[in-house]
Amino acid sequence: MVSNMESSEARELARTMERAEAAPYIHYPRWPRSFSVAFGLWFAAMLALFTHNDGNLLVGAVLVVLVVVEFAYFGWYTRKHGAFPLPFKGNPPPEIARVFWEYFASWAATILVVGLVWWQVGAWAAVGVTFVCVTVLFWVHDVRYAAAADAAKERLA
Amino acid sequence: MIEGLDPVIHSPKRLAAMAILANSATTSFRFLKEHLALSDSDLSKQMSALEAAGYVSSSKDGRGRGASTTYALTKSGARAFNAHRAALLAVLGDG
Repeated sequence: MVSNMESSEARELARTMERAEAAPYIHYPRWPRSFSVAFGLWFAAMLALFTHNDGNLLVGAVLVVLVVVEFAYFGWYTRKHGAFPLPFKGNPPPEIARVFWEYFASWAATILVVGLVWWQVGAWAAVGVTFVCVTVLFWVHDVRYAAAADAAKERLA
Repeated sequence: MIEGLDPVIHSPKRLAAMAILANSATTSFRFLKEHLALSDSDLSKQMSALEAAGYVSSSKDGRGRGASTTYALTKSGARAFNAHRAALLAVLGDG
């Protein structure tokens, strides 16, 4: 049987824990919205290089450069953030969890659309669609994530 | 103290630190200090206690004044935190 004092203490500790658990998700460095275009270009370039490879060394080298750029960006952003959360690790605030699910669903839809365009129209059309879809995906995700983080901050204040 | 709770993690400062670590791959000293609102020495003391319990591991990048420290939960730390979290929520009837 838990006393009133213990229950009150537990409530306070649970609140402290909830605020701390949310911190990595809701306190993060925001990037310019124009980064969405950079992501769209990166994914489109990757698809273009993969679909038009033909064993060309230069294409292979550019692919390697793109992968290195991706890792460098991820490493820089992780250091800048200081507590980069992993989507399936831990307990994100419900506002953020919803956005994560939307994000992954959007990726599934994007892959489907790009696959369909590639099959029905061709590789270069798929590259163009990739650029548009990924740019929009990141732009929308950025907006919705920022709104969700602000809502979580307000609830936990 | 409420039964079932880990005495190492029970302190609000260490509970909050563990909660942050449980939700990120690694966490910097800077992020912990900013979001726990602790002084350098107090934070170091709390993290040392968690490291001594085997719940947290640390790594240092660089040397001297420019050095940065990052922390991560160990497997036993993750288990301890999850058990503590479940026990705390069970007290409130949310477990």
